[in-house]
Amino acid sequence: MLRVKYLGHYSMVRGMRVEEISLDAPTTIRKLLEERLGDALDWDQTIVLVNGRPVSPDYKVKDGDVVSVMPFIGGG
Amino acid sequence: MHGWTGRILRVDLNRLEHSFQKLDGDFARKWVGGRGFASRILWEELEPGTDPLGPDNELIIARGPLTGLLAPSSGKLVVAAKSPLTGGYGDGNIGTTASVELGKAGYDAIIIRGRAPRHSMLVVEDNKVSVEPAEDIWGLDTFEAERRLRKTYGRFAGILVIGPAGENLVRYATIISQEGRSGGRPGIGAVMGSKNLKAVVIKGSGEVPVADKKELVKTATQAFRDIKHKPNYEFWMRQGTMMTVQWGQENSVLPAYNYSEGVFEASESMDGYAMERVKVTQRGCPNCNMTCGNVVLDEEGKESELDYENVAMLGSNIGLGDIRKIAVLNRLADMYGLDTISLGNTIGFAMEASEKGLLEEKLEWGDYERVRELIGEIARREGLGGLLAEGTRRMAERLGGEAYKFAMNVKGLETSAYDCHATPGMALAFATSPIGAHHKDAWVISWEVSTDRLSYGREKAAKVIEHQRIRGGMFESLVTCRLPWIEVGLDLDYYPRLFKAATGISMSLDDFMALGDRIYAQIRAFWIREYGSWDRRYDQPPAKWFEKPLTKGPLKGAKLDYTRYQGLLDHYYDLRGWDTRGIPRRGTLRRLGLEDVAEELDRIVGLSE
Ligand code: SF4
Repeated sequence: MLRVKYLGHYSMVRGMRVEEISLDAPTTIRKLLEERLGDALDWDQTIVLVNGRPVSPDYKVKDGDVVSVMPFIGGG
Repeated sequence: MHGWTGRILRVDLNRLEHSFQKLDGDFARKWVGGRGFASRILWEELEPGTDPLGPDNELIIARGPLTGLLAPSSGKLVVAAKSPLTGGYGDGNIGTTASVELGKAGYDAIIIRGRAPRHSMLVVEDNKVSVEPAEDIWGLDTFEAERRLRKTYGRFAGILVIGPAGENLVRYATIISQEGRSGGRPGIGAVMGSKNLKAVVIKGSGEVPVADKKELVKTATQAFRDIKHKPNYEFWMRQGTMMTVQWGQENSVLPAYNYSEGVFEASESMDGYAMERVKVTQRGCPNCNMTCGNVVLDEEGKESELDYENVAMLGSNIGLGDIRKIAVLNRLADMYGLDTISLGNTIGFAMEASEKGLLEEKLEWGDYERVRELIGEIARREGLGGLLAEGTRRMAERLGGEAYKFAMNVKGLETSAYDCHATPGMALAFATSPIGAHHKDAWVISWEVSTDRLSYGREKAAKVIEHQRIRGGMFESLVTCRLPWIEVGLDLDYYPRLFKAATGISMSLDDFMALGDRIYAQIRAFWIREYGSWDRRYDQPPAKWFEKPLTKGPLKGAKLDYTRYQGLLDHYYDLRGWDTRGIPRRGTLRRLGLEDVAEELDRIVGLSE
């Protein structure tokens, strides 16, 4: 089981703030998120953390990972 | 002149006189407005060593060539003076209808000097300028004072007021407008109080002349439309900057327990979603279509306007995680006219000092009831409040010993709400901000966490400078809100186009970057002249981030590395054309058209070639 947290407007795109996903086959962050967020996903302006640490889109997710996907913000 | 009104109002409160001064065209082009004007005027007109709370300090209220015009989020003003908190250059940015009225009344800036013989307010209605008695509103909180003034001067008057904190010279008192907009973190409200000036009321009936109205309307309309169509616009309208609580928690930058940690166990009860549950309405600055003032009903059933900074500082940073209680503290700060960032810092510092046995009074983390009282005591300078009214640098000096290590300020100005144990680039941004530790000039955390978070490479220094040029240079001089660019991603190219339409003058983005560099060198020169000497010790982040690692969260164990930070600072100085002491080189000043500054600085510190 894998948990994905959607922050900011990604929670509206996905229609939920947290999603639990069971992995049938190994997959990358890129594939996982592109399937779920489609065109709304702008990699240049997005931070993806796995267990609190930044990862590249090619990171292979595994059971137990907590993925957080969030837009860049400007810090006010 | 177009975009500018071409006129400055000077007020001498000693003599109760005023005069109108023509704005010089070359000066306007060289310094543009807002911070550009303020930094240059304070350099030219203040004697070195001027008492910031004495009559000779100048309070400057300045617009820029886009302020109040049809342009995205253009209802902003710069308020500036020599700071009583830092002893250096101080300014702040406030969203207020006074910004629109100032231009309509026919002024680009008001420069106020002297001290009124009794409690007063300045009333400007077009060419009619008067200093009126303010005995009946002196002592009132900012909300009540503004309500009374509205009865006399009408709904549409632009009103800037101070509260009891400004009257009692609390060193981080701000100026307040519209019951919740606050500006002038480095004690600009105290400067106003020291002049016996409770309020400034501005009403104008004219119009700022613009060079090409048709083009301005076209470009602005397009920009407003773009903003509304940005992908995160809808979410921004729901939460505004409050989304940063959850974001900061995820990225371990949410300050907790006086910046000891970057995560907080109760963050979910103070985040944007918690805010949405008690939100009743939304407010904003004039001319803004992405208003971000989230108004909630607080624990006492009153309205309080929240944004991220005040929630983090009066929440997690003091160990409090209840949004409705935090909202009470925030409302009180606005009513008394206190800067919420420095307030959350001084309280957090006092709590840590108490925990370490350095304070007589016991002050527990998250003790809402006590903090609620303490805020009033600070504004009135009573008991322990008198100590907290001084800011963390002076508090640490009073307590002595190792207290300076957890006094979270740079150059005396308290850090904004971002923990930097694991963001060296943001630490550099705080350390080199031209007013002391503030986030408005450069905020690089998104970029930093998405690249090489813990590195100290040259590109980090370059990124900080890029932000400082745009945010601290261009936006603070145009004077419009930076948030359309930084928060929803409005294209920066709009700004030179809007500027051209307003003023008729072509300035490229590169020219604006050069303006930013000129302003930075000018402000640095002001600090050097005031401090009488300069070295890199003034450009250091607070000691805690180097010494006490994070103990919680995914970045547990992280802290800044002192030696590597010095390398990062060297890159910064080098890219700016400043020497290793942090002083602009002679050639840099010449290139920026600041020969006179070079001459004066050379006499004080000896310039490097
Ligand atoms: S975005 Fe927020 S701070 Fe900026 S002008 Fe609009 S309401 Fe004011």
